[in-house]
Formats: sequence, structure tokens, C-alpha cells
Amino acid sequence: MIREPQQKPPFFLLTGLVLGLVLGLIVAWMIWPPRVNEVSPANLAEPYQEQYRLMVALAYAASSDLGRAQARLALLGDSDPVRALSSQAQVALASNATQREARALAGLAEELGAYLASQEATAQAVNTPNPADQSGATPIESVGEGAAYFLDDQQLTCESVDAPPYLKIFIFDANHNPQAGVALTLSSEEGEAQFTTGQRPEMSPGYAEYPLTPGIAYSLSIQGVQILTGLQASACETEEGEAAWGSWLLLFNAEE
Amino acid sequence: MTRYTLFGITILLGFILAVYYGWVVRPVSVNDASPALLRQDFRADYVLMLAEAYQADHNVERAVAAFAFLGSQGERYNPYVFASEALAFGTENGYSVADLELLQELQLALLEFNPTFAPTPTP
Repeated sequence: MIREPQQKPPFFLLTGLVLGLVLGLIVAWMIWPPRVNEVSPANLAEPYQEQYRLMVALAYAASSDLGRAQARLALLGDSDPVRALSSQAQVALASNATQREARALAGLAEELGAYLASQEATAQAVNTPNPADQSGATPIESVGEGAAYFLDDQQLTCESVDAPPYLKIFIFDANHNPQAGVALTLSSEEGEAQFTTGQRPEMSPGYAEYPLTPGIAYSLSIQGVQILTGLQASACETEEGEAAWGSWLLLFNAEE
Repeated sequence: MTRYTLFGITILLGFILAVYYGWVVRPVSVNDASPALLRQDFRADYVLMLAEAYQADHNVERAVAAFAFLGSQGERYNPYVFASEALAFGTENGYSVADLELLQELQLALLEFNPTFAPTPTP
């Protein structure tokens, strides 16, 4: 009996492909990399980056345009531009010949540091609940023409310090049954969000919720008709007496 | 087609794929470039920074020294040419009038400082 020669898989093709890939990568990355003609300040070698940073500081010392200086520094891609400026200022300070440079670098570091700190403080003030501040305590009812629903009740519920502020809406039809599929629109300066009741049926078919961003004023429309304006995340105190963001609980009933 | 021909074709195919990957998809990153390779808008902005600093101290020598940052190898170092290029770029790309005036002021100061900076007309 004659045995047929066993067919071997074409491993040589795979070997050739791998060999070609390795050779190609060596050529593309090491022997003949693409010629770079245009780079940004972030791609410069460190001494050149220092010279660029110094020039930003000298230009700022002349113009006092902090926004422009900040934009220019951002091109260097420093993770902490203030620290980079301060370190360079300290090095410059060590030499008598570079006192002017040191002053410019330190001046920009100080101004930029103060500006960033004030920005951070403002953001923190907006995002930290303060129960004493009741500026956004009550949404204003502003019923548009042809409204099919009216606000029956509103409550600020204070759950826990960690819970983010929410808008929680319950909608009932004329027979006082929870109503699913009611279109809601929450508008603010940041844009418009559309959602419907019934997306969390475990709560109620007539329930809908949406997270609120502290410091932003919203207006609420039901079925395209504005119902409330001046809706904001409000601060409250939990049972333990801790400051927290409360959630607005709004109950709407259909007009009979 | 012989095995050797097929082997050669697969090497070539792998080579082409790898070169495409290495040049187009993921080219080597540049971390220690010279300022001579800076993109034109960054070069123009650097000159504008120089012009802003010059406006404060009117020290041309200092400005000329700072122009060395942009000098490229094998090219005649000429601050006036760099300032002219920045001014042309700023004019074409909508720099504010105030910025263009700063660049112009620096350009003139460079020429007054060293008249040989002026480019010689080509015959």
C-alpha cells in the first residue's frame, strides 16, 4: 500500500510575513524614520523648552497678558506649569547674570499660581453645598400656555453627603395613576436634556430622574410646555447635621 | 509559483505593512527637536514674544541674542529675516494690529541696529 505524503501547513509563508514585518519596522523606526519638519514647543529638547518658557515670562513681564502667557505655557505640555516656572526661576536666581530672567519667571509663576488658585477656589465654592445659601431654594413655577400638568407638590429631600443632587419627578394622570412615557425637557445654559417617565419602573411608571449640576439654573418643560424655571441644586442638612446636596422631588398632576 | 517566490512575496508584504505602520500609523515621536523645526505659527509667536519683550526694554542686542533660538544649522543666521517671516505670517493669519505694530517695530530696530541684516536683492 502506498502512503500519500502528508500535507504540511505552509509555515514558510508565516515565517516570511514575520520576517518582512520585523525588517519593515527596523527600517521605518530606526534606519529611515519619517522626516519631521514641523514640531510644537512640547517636542523641543529640554534646554530649548527652558528658553521658550523664559521668553513667555519676559513677554508676560512686558504685556501683563496672563491669558496669553497661560496659552503659550500650555504648548510646552508641563504637568505643573507653576512648578516648572518656579524651578527655572530658582536656577536663574543662582546666577548674577540672570536676575532679570529670574524675576520674570518668578513673577509669572506667582501670578499664574494665584490665578489658578482663585479658579480652583471658585469651582470649589460652586461645588460645595452650603445650607446657609438658599439662593436656589425654590424653583419658580412658570406655566406656559397649554400646560397639561400642574405642580402639585415639591420637596427638597436630603439623603446623604455622598449623594449627588437629583431632580426626581413623579407624574400622575387625571385619574391619579402614574403616567409613563411623558416627555420631559430640562434646559440650561449647558444645553438641553430630554428624557421620559417610566425609565425606572421599579420606582414607578410615572417616575423620572436627572442629575443636576450645582450652580446651573434649569427650566423644566413637560410635553414641550414650560412648567418651572430657576430650578437649581440646593444645599441642605442631613439628619446628622452635615451639609449635602438635596434632591428636588416634584409631583405633577394632569389637568382634569 | 515556487515556494521561494511565495516566500519572497510574503516577506515583501510584511515589509510594506510594517513600513506603513511605522511611518503613517505610529511614527516615532520626537522629544528632543531643535527650534529650527518649529512649525511656522510657533516660530511667529516666538518672534512676537521677542517683540513684546523688546517693547519693554528697547534692548536690540538682547533681542538679537534671543533670535539665535530660531537659527537653523547650515542657514545664515539673520534675525531680520525671522522677524519679516513672522510679520508676513501675522499679516496673513489675522494677528491684531497691535501685535503687527510690535513686530514692525522690532523689524525696524533690527535693521537700524545692523543694516547688513537687510536681504540683498537677487539679480
